[in-house]
Amino acid sequence: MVASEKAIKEANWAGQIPLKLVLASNEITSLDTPSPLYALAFRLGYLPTVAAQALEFFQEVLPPGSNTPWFEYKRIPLPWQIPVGVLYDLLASENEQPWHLTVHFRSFPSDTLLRWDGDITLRAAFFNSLKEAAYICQGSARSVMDMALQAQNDLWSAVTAGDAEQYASISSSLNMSPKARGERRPSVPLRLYVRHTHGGYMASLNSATQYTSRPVETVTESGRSRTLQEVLLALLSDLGGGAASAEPESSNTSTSQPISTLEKDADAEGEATGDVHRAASSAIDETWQSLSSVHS
Amino acid sequence: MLPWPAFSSVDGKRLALRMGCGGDAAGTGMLSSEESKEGALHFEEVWHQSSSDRGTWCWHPASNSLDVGYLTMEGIPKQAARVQVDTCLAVPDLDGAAVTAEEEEDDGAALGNGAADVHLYDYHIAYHPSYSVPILLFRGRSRTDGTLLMWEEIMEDLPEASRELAGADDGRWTFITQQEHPVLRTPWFSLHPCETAALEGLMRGEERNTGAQLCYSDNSLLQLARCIPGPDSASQLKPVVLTGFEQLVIQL
Repeated sequence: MVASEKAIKEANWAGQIPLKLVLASNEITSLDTPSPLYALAFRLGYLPTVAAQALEFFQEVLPPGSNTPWFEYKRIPLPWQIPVGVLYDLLASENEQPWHLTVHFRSFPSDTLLRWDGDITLRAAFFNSLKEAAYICQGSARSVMDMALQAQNDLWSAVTAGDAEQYASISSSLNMSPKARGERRPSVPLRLYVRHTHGGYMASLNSATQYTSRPVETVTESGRSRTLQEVLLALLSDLGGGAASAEPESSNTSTSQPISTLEKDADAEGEATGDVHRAASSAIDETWQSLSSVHS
Repeated sequence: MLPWPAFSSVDGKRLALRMGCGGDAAGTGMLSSEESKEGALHFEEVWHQSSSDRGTWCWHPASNSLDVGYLTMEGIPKQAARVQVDTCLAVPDLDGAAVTAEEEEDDGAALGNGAADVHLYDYHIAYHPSYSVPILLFRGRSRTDGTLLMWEEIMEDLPEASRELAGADDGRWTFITQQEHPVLRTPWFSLHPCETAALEGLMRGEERNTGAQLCYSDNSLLQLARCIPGPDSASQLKPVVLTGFEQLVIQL
């Protein structure tokens, strides 16, 4: 069991998504359409990490001016703060490989995407997310805020390089184990992404998907451990929109296992492939990112 | 004591508008989403009774039962600090200044080219599930073309003390951050809950406390509201948000 969990963790960290990047047609200044760029992105990584590569590749055909990268899939601007693997599982057509994305360097859609101001933006978003997770687990974000600059740098480089071992050794020092506070039972951070329809036209990310990020208590009022299935069913029912009728399925995580024990191993949980994905980039921001596609 | 935004009555007249304090017995400052809704509705009511001439907070219920909803006060004008010159028409600076002066007299006259734009600020108060507190979100728009204001433009509208803090090395990422609206999922600015202690210090006129502790308790919307772009002086423009909160505390 332990060995297989370790294997899942390692496979998840090593997992990559093949991308086929095409430059937005209105940003091409050359007569010939530039050839697409093929790149690999870590499932637990973020899209902007391939932006530098894309800029180098497409630079010559871009119009003069400053470059702010953003990515689009089927006309939907992709939030840069969501891990690539989660975006892929949430939005990509079934088994679409490589994943066809359009890259832009102009006309950043600042009404739908959080502002991108260089790599510092991503790093700041990651640490804000980590603080949020620490707050949920420990009732305080002190452990993250008190991290020495060097430790922060090491943690961040582990994330960007996909170094599971380094990440685990630093994050374990943060002591993220959930504890009770006042009347609040011990909680773990959970992010759930729900896709309503599969395939078909997506008018916007918000209309095609639902998302929630919240603390989830690990035990019931009577002290019994809650299972991932219980938690997901309750969340799906509260989200409404047809999600309630769906039975969550998960291929690599037992949904009947107590959520607290899952949490302990949630360091680098795999993103499950199945109707309900538990795309646990809990790894990455210590938050469970769950992903569920619901056929309605 | 009522939950957020909780009101504590001081000598029967003063109401302190508190954010996330006293909501639970353990004193952690955390509130459940239901408590926050109850507080928000109460706040809306009290605000309406006491300051109906200063803009209105409206409650918007959420479309699902996970989120409770949020309060909004939208379209609060603030004269932009910077004179925007229409580059196409290349209006000389002098003209721009003239129009600006004229407009100050007219208080909200139609804008001409080269005039200082008026920024319209939207304020939302939404429950943040992770921190279990309501957060104050804001965004600004240009009245001339409706485009969302960029960080730099918002910086210009900040009160001076906030501008210094926000302009510090990493200030923009730790003090005022852009984040997704917890319910709407669109980009909004907010005062990051992590820096609350630093904010409190700032508002008391102390040096920046770098060892800020993450704690929303005993904090007030009034204090937070002083740090973000507010409307122009109260005599010029009502409804007001900043002075509105202040007056709520002082006058009631």
